[in-house]
Amino acid sequence: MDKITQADGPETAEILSSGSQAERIVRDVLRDILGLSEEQVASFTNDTELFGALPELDSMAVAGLLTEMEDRLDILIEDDEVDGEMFENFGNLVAFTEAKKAA
Amino acid sequence: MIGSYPFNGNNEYCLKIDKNRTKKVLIIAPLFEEANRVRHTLVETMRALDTLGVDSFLPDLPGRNESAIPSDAVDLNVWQAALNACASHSGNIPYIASLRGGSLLDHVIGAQAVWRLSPVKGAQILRAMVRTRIASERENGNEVNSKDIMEIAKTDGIALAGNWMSANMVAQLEPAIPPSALPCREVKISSASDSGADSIQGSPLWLRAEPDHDAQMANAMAGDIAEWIG
Repeated sequence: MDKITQADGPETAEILSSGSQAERIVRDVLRDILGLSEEQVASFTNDTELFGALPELDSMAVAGLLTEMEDRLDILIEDDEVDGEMFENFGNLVAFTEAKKAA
Repeated sequence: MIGSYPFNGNNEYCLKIDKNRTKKVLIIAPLFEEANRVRHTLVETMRALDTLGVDSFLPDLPGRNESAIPSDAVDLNVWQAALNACASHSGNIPYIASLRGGSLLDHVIGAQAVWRLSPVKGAQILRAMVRTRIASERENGNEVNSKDIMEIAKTDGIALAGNWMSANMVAQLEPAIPPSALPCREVKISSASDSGADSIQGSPLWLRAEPDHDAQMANAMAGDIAEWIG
């Protein structure tokens, strides 16, 4: 099941490990929606590919993911804000979420 | 065992472990697709409750599962009436345990107290289902938005994530929040082992893209419910 490829070095992992609250929540939501292990989501770095790389993440799961992120982060995500790029990799999803949270 | 309760001229299924004990709990599953994802764990919870001396009842709602009622003929009011019918048919059930959207319906007639796991507002349930619809429309090359979908839904009813929702169901679900008249113990799911008194160690199985089962979580839920009943 684990098809994730990681191309990035320890620097990125270090930056992410001291990550934001938004990032922690994104990790938790991915774990909870996709049924991934704590170890697997902890290993995610900015370059970890999501959509297309995680077999559990299909468009139905994306719908659940967005709604759960809204609930846990107290944000509202509009339909037109959601695009393929957002789910391309973990870094994009976290960046989107942090921008939403800061707005 | 699989029992049933009469409602509006039909019999609806109700899974029960009923040994005529004084401690009884009616379990209200999450609504729609989320119910399927926790069914296994709820049944294991009932078995664990049995060993702890508590009878339990898990009714199917009209219009769901094997029900002979068409799914466009039901709404929240119908479901509430069905749960009332189930409770009165099953004898006096003072305790209700509800999960997620089930909490919208947990003030069942005769109930004295409610136990809730991660209750959710109707609007949140709708939002997730509308998103699924948008996703499938996009895959077919149709650009749609939530507003248009909700407008159609409130007039004509709509199929969302494989569920036919009547216009009444959509209209009732949108403003619905879990009622607050009865004493309530609310617990949350936590992944941490030292998660505190008001949480159940486990994972939110109702969110899963694929159904899963968690035996430890079933035991933890049963333990918490049994202790709450006293």
